[in-house]
Amino acid sequence: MPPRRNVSLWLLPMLAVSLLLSACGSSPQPGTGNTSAIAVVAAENFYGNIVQQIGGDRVSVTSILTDPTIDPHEYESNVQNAVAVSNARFVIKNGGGYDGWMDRLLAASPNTDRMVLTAYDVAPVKLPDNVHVWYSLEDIRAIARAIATSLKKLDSAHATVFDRNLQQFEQALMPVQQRIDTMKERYAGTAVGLTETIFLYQANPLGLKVLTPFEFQKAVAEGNDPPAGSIIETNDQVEQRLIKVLIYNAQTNTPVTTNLLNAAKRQRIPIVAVTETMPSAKTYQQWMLDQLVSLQHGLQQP
Amino acid sequence: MFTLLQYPFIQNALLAGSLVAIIAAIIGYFLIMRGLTFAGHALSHIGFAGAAGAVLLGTDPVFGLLVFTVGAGVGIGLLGKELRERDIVIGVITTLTLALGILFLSLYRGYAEQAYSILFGTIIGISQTDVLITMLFSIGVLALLLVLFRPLLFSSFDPEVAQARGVPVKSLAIIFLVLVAITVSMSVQVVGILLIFTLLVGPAATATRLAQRPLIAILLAIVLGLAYTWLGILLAATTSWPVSFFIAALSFGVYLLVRLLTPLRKVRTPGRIEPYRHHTLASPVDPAQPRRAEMTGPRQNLSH
Repeated sequence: MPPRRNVSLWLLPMLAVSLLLSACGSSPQPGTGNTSAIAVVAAENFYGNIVQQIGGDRVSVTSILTDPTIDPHEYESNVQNAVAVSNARFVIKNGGGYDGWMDRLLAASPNTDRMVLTAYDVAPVKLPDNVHVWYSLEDIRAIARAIATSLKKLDSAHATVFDRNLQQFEQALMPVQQRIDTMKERYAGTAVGLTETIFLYQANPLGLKVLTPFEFQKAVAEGNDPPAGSIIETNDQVEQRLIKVLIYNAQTNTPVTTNLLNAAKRQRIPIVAVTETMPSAKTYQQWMLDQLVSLQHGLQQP
Repeated sequence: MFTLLQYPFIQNALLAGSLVAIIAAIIGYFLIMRGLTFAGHALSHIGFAGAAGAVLLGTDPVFGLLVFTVGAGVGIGLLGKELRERDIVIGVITTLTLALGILFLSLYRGYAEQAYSILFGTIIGISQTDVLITMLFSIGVLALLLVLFRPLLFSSFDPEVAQARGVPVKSLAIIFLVLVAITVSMSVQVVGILLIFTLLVGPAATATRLAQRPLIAILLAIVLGLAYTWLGILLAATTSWPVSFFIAALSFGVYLLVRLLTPLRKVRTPGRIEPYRHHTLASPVDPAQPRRAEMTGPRQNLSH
């Protein structure tokens, strides 16, 4: 075996390994110093938006899940996401198993200086088998307070700014709460259908009666096929016009839910779309208000 | 590009990816020589059920992967030598375990993100603990391969003569499949279950078309595997496309190129045992130096 050929084959990996080892010593340079904006990474854009509202120009927010047309459960993070997390001083994620990819990104770039806020953990209202806590106004108020507390820890010099912005945000939520209260007065007890579990966080405060079997909603949320019996029951509710409105999660559509939507259209039952991820151009409060207004239109129809 | 190397997640990805590329290349070479590439593919799918089961039980998916793949590897090793029947049995078992995986996922309360994410690999989400585990298992596999290299080569090229010369061919087959199982479990982190071929078979398949001598072919396979992994990570960093896609594209692209450019060598004949008949006990065969005149090739599929 010619030795020269052997050496040249080993040279490439050896060179690569030595390059790697030499670079191992250095670590990334996150934004330090109180004068520069805090680098924030939000797993979901609605949390990113709230951080933006509370942090103002003291934060620089990068949101990862920003597209309300894709299924967020099937998200695969890329290198750019990993770089952003690596450079972040504050990371906010939903948790509860919703965004496990973020946990992996955090574990791959350990950083003791980085603060991580898991919204699901601070949310006071948690429905069973339902991690979509950002749909509950009560939870969002608690999460916003937690965001303000975290920002104040990271940048104590601007504590008053964060407190003031927090107050403004809580006031901005009031029209949403008022809409929920008026709709409850008018439509409490109305029977509705849900394709997925997410809207339960508002259907309950609205006093709506959700007829769709929970196994159906839960299966759609978990990416599985619903049990056959629940599909039959759900379709019967539509065919027999037992529900006034069908509220569907536009991001978790499967052939089963598409069939249901078509059946509802045939029966002329109003269909209301809600999304898991916020439309990029809106604020959190605007998003929630717009969806409630659509729902009210649907409930108003004879 | 060198700014990338300062990120811990890139360092972890390169380290784990390199270790996996090395053991996958060596194991892949023997898989091809022994006609067991289908088993390598099957083991990854069987491993998926293990991972789903582990998620259901609340433990680490890699643990479930290891348990199921090693179990399946031992099972395949015990199945026996009749190749044609073995393919059918492996196929049936693979589909059963995949169905089990679906059941586990439907029983799990929540979205089993951990199980789905291993379908395509999680290389940029590898923590230091993962690197450590990969390193331990990779060194173990390498050590065993080093110790068993000659008997393994012997029994791959010439099982009957090896058996006659006292090489424990059956036990070696089982040990080898356990090594395949461990390698598959580690490789899943890099390219995922569905793309396991790209690191397990791709580099070795390309290498065996370019080099006949085992050591050269293995070294070439290692270099190719390392190159695909490093380039894959680099290309993924400059776009927002997944790492596993780039590794697969490189693996396939280079294999296609090599296959189109190199004609099938005359020394390779398809088929099974008959060509070995003229080897007698009196003519010793050194597996590392296959004699050109009688180089009829080990048991391989018709074309790979």
